[in-house]
Parts: sequence; structure tokens; C-alpha cells
Amino acid sequence: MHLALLIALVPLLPLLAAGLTSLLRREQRVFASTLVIAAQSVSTIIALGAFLITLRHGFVRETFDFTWLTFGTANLQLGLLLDPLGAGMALMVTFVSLLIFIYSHGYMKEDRNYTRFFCFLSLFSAAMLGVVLSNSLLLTFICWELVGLASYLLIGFWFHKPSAAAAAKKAFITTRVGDMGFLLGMLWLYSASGTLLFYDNGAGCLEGAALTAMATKTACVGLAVSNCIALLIFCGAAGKSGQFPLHVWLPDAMEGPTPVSALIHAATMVAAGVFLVARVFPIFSAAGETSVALQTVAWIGAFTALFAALIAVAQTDIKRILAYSTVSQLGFMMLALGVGSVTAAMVHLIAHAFFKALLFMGAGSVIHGVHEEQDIRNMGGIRKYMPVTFVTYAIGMMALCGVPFFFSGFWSKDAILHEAHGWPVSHWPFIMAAAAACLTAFYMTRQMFYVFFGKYRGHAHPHESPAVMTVPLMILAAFAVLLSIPATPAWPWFEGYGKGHPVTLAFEKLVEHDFLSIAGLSILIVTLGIGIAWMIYGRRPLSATAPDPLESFWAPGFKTLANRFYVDELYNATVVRALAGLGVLFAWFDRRILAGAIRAAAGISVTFSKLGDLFEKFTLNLGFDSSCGGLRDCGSLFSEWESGRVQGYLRFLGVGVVVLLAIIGWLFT
Amino acid sequence: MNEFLQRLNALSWDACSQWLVLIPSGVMLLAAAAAAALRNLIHAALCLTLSFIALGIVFIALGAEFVGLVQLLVYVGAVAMLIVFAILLTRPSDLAGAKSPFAGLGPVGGILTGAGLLVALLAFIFSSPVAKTALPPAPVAPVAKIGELLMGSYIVPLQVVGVLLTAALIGAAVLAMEDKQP
Amino acid sequence: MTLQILLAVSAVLFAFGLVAALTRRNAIMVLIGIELMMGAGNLNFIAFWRFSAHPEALTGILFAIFSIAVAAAEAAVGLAIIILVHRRIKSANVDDANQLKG
Repeated sequence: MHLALLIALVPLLPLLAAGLTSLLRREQRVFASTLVIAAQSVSTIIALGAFLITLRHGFVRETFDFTWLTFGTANLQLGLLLDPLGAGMALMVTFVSLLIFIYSHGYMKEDRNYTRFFCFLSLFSAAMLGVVLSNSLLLTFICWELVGLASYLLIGFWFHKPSAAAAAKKAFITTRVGDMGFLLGMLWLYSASGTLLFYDNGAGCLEGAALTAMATKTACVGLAVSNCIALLIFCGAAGKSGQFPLHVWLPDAMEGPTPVSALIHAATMVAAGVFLVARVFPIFSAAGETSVALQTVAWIGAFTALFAALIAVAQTDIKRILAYSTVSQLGFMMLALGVGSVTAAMVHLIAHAFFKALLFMGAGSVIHGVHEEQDIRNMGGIRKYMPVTFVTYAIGMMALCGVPFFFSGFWSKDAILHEAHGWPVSHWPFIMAAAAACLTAFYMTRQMFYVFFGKYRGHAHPHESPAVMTVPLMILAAFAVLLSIPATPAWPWFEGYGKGHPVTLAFEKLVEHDFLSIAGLSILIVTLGIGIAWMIYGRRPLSATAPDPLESFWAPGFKTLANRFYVDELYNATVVRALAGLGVLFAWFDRRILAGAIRAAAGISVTFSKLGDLFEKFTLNLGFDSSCGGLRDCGSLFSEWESGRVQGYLRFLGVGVVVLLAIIGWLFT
Repeated sequence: MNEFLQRLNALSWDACSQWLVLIPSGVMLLAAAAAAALRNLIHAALCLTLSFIALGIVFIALGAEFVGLVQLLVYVGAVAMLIVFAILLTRPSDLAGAKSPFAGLGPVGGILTGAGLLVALLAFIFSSPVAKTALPPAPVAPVAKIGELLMGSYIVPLQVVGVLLTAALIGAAVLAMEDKQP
Repeated sequence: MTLQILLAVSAVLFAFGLVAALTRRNAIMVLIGIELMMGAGNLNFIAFWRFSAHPEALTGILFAIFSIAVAAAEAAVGLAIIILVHRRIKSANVDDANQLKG
């Protein structure tokens, strides 16, 4: 029971901090940030404890369930789950979030709405941890939506900027489209398996009889039920993780402050999609190792990786390049999941979280240092002014590109390529992934040359960022390097951790032919990418106004890439226009028909009230008045008898007595 | 006193006892009619006195000697005198009564009411079986016994009447006092 | 001598008193009428006592005594009121005391 309470505290503490911070005034900045960072620190420590628990020998899976709603015989249950996947993810999320919170203090110091920022950050952290530690698809969905809400609030943090407000709306609506699929999948899963708990001693929806039942039954177009459900859930994951075609919101989400980009759109929220697929992987693979669902995931992942990498080549905003890079890397992770390797995907996810957060925070540091300039064409030579930022950024870039041996990115990307190579269905995803890796190296090097090398082309006076911003950078850089150790196949620690069996150090794995060929290919790709980029961008000085060398090489292609393959314009012309037309139709309906009906109803009631008024005036009032007149006349008649003469009264008395006597006499005889 | 009353009692029932009741009754009725009808107030008051005396004699004849004497003492001695004094003090401008003695409403209604009531009462009286009882033997009503009862069973009514008389005395005195000049 | 005769006498006396109270103009005449009615009542009491089954209880006599006492008190107060009213409206006429006219 204590374990359950401990696990529950991990999302609850940031939630409490968010609640308390929402009540604070704008001026109580120090209190707000202290509260939030303290709550997050405690959560990190508890997550670390949970992680250590899962390091025990044997496979750890503890669940704590409780019933939320009962209706009739059915009930909805929520629960918490502690297993290697969740614990590792939770530790990563809490730790990276903590570093970013500390970084935000420096970054948002001059902002007026500092307190609100920390409140939303804490809310996001709580929701994300809820997604990670949940044992029930329903709780996951609830926290999923909360994550979406927090993302909306944070992207649109500077809501008075129209572009930021629009970007927030776009993010929310696009992910909502995906969430529709998620909801349908969840409903179908509940009806197919009778429970939404993942693991429930054999009765959960991811284990045993329920799973095999779903795999064997077929639904529409001959797909197994498990495949249909998996594809629907993948809609939600694709929306959240920015897979094609729901990727359009991620680059626009850069309108938010840089810590938001680092936390949400690099490390955690976009990883939630990958995490979800990893979590419900048994459903994906229920119909076989190469089920339709998994194939779809792999193809979409590979395509997204290549697509986004191509677009990133032609971007000029420092954060946008990183955003498309994130989309591309998420494609890699989805590809890894699609070819059946949950471990490779999770390793890449965790490594990516660290170095992408590092890169975003580094970019933030650069932006801060050149006073809010974001176009790379107006930067240059920053490494002289901001050395710490430069070194840490370089480490992150090398990890992302997959520079061999010392950087975690190399090992994780290599593992993915290895798995993709061994996929029995097709070799094309492998080829697409390799091309994407090459392009990754290319555009990152391009960015490095534009930003850090050459002469400074801007107008501000760049300066190094304060320690509160650079120290988290250094910590993340250290992790980017250190995580390479557990990721090598010589010591497949992640693999062993994920499955619960011990690992042994085996250097001979490094020289297996299998491994060497793919590793060699990776090294070749990276060298190619960096080399070509150096040739194009490194040798001649870059200018701010002249077109990109690639553009002068092949202008139409470059233009298409720069315009992001016109996907946004396509959506605008089709979906948005259709919805606008529908809106006009509904407005007409509302104005004419509904309002008309209301006016008619109002008219009826007005008529009734007028009739009532007439009735009142001529019937009630008249009757009342005339009866009052009659009463008055009667009264005046009666008052004539009140002569004031006693004897008159006495006479009446006497007559009355006589009458009484007569009555008594008549009654008794 | 007692002896006197006893002798009175014996006398009342010796001979022609009923005439001893009927003749004073007739006188009483005539005097009452006169009292009701006479125009002159003093005359009316005096006829009233005569009527009271006759009633007292009837009481004595019926055997309630104490009551009869009380009637004579109180009514004749006090009430009638009081009425005469009140007539004196209110000094109607026309003691002879130039105007009609009857009220503005006219005598007809009152006479009719009285007649009606009389008829109803007589109907009851002469149809009731209770009233047809025979004359019982002469009762004895010694004053001592009356005194005992007054001080015994009827002590509460006695006290109440005492309070009433006191209140009436004080009230009458207050009411009839001269208005104090402010 | 039956009870009926006595009761009839009393009824006639009562009627005379009622007529006097209802028809005379002077307030004192009304009082006289009232006294006559009360006398008739006393006569009733004594008559019933005389013809009762247990005359030794002296109920009728005591009732009559109390009745006389009350009548005396009432006469006194009534006459005092008449005198007072006379002082106000300078008349003993019942028709003139009609301020309760509604």
C-alpha cells in the first residue's frame, strides 16, 4: 500500500503545486517558482526511488487499481502501474522537467506573467506523469487530454500575439482530430475486452484471454479487432507525436516560450505518443509480429522521418529546424516500434529527450543572448560570445546526428537501423530511415555553421546567458554523453531492464558482423552528411541577405521544402474551407430558422399575455369592481339599521328570542 | 324575628291561601302596566314602587318570607328611591310630558315584540308537563338556614356579590361625581 | 293554585317590562322596564322553589337573594350612567344618545 501512495504522489505533487500556484497573485513570483520546483524535486526523488525498485532481479510489475464509476454490473476502473517502462519514463520526465523548470526561472525572469507560467508548467508535469504511470487506458486518456490542454495554455502563453493564439488553437485542434480516433479505439477496446485496465493479474486488456480474443475476431475489411483498435489508438499517438499527416501543429508550436518548446515539444509531450504505442504494444502485436497495425506504424514513421528531415533542410528559424528535427526523430521512434522493437524505440526516446531538450534550451540561450532574434541568417559567430552554450549545443548536435561511439544518439539510432534492416516485410523503411539520418546530419551541420561559425551578422550585442540557464545545459550535455554507455549492445542494459533479465558485459557483441555492417553504414551516413554540409556552408562565409547556397542550386525544390511541401496550404484549402462553409450554413440556420422559431414562440406568449390582460381588465377587474360596488350598496343598506338607538337593537334581540323559542318549541314537540 | 315569620307563614296558608297570592299579583300587574304606560315619570316611578310592594307580598305569601322582606327593603327602600332621585337630577324639561312618551321608533314594534314573547312563553308554560305539578306542603325557610347556606355552600357567590356591590358603589360614585374643573 | 298560574303572571310581568324597555323615550323608563323584568325573574325562581321536590335546599331563595342584590347594583350603576350622560347631552332621551350610529 505504501508503494501505491508513493507512486500516486509523483503526479499528485505537481498537481497540488499547480493548484496552489493558480491561486497566487502575479507578484508572488518567488513563492510560485519555489513551490513548483520543490514539488517537482520531490517527485523526481520519488520517481528515482520507484526506478530503483524496478532494478530488482526479475520482472517487476505492480499495479494498484480502484473503481471509479459503477453503472449496473459494469464498472470503470483506474489504476497506477509500476513497471520498467513506466518507471524509466517517469524518471526521465521528472528529471528533464526539473531541469527545464530551473532553466525557466532564468528565461522568464523578465516576463510579467511568470507565476502563470509556472502554474501551467506544473499542471503539464502532473498530467504527463499521469499518462506515464497509469494502468488504465481511461486514466491515460484523461491525462492525455490534460496534457493537450496544458500544451494549448503554454503554446498560447503570449496570447496577445495573434500568431501565438492561432498556433495554440491549431495544436489543440489537430491533436483533437487524433484524439477522436483514440477515443473510438478506447471504446472499442472496452467493449471487446470488458476492461480498460492494462494489467490486472491476467484480466487486463493487454494480457491473456482478452488479447487472444481480440486477435482472432475480425471486424471491418477483414482486419482483426486488435488491429482496428490499435490503428484507432495510433491516430491519437500520431496526433500527439506529430506524425504525417497530423504533424502540422508542431512547427507552429514554436510560438511558445523556449522552455515550453524544450519540455513539451522535444522531451515529453510528443514522446507521449510513442510511449502510448509502447504501452499498448501487445494489442499492436496481438495479430502477429508483422500485423497490419504494426506495418502501418512503421511505414508512417519512416515516411515522417524522411519528410520532416527534407523540410528541415530549408528552414531559417532556429527553433523551426529543431521542431522538424523532432518530428523526424519521432518518426524514427515510430519506425522502431513498427518493426517490433519496443526497447530500441524507448532507448531512442530517452536519449532524444535529453539531447533535444539540450538543443532547445541551447537555442533559447542563443535567442536570449542575441536579444530575441530567431532567424539564423542574422546570427553567426556566436561561439565567440557564448562559449558554454556553443560547447553544450555542439554536444547535443553530435548526439542528434549520431556521431559515433561517445554519444547516445549514435547507439540508439544504430539500434533502430539495425532493427529496420532486419524487417521481413520490406527494406524501404530502412532506406528511408538511412536517408533521413543523412539529412539529419546535413541540416544540423548547416544550422551549426549558420549560427555559431563565421562572422556575426546581426545587430545586437550577444552575451553569455546566466548560470541558472547554462548549468542545466551542462547537466543535460553530460547525460547525452553518459547515456551512451547503457545503450551499447555490448552491455544491453536497457534491453535487460525492460524485460527483467540480467545483462552481462560482452564486448564481443561489438564486433559481430551483423552489428558492424550497420554501424559502419551509420558512420558513413553521418560523415557524408556532415561533409556535404561543410562543403556547402563551411567554406565560404554566409550572408544574411543572399539566398541559401542550396536555393541557388535548385530553386524550385528548395522553395517547396521551405514551404513545407505546401501541406498547410492544402489543409487550409480543403478542411478549413469546408469547416468555414459549414459554419456559414449553421449560422444561417441559427439566424433564420432557430431565431425565427424563438421569435414565434415569444410572439405566442406575448399574445397570451395580451389576452390575459384583456381578460383581467374587462372580466376580472370589472366583475370585481361591480361586486365591490354591490357590497358597498349592501353595506350602506345595512348601516341604515345601525341607528345608534339602543331600543332598536333591543327590539331585534327580543324578536330573536321569540324566534329562538319558537324553534325550540317546534323542535321539542 | 323568626317567630314573626313563622306566624306569617302559618297565616299565609290557613285560609284562602291562593287569593293571598292572586290579589297582590293582580295589583302588581296593574301597577306594572301603569308604570310602563304613564306619561308622567314620577307617577310611573310611584306605580313601580307599588308594583314592588305587591311583589314582595306575593313572595311572603308563597312562603319565601325572607326574600319578600329583602325585596321590600332593597327594591322599595333603595331602588325605587334611587329612581326617584335620578328623575329629579335629570330633570326632564317636560315632567308632564308634552311630547309623546314613546321613543322615536314608535310603540308598535316594541308592543309587538312584547306580545310575541308573551305568546311564546305562555305557549311553553301551558304545554309543559312540569308546570302541571300539584302544590306541595308548605316549606319552611328559616333565616338561620339561609344564613348557614350563605356562609357555607354559597360563600363564593356571596363574596363575589360583595365585590360586585363594592365595585358598583365606587363606580356609581365616580360616575356621578362632579366633573373636576381643569 | 298551580305553578302555571304563577308562571303566567311572571310572564305577563316580564312582557310589561319588555314593552316599557323597548318603547319609552326616557332612559329612566327603560331602567324601570328592566327592573320589572328582573322582578319577574325573581318571581319565577320563587315559584319554582315553592313547587320543587326538595324545597329544604333553599336553592330558589338563595338565587332570588343574589338576583335582588345584583339588580340593586345594576340599578345604581345604570342610574349613575344616566346622570352622567344627561350632564353631557343635557337630555335623558334615549334617541339623543345615538353617537354609535353607523
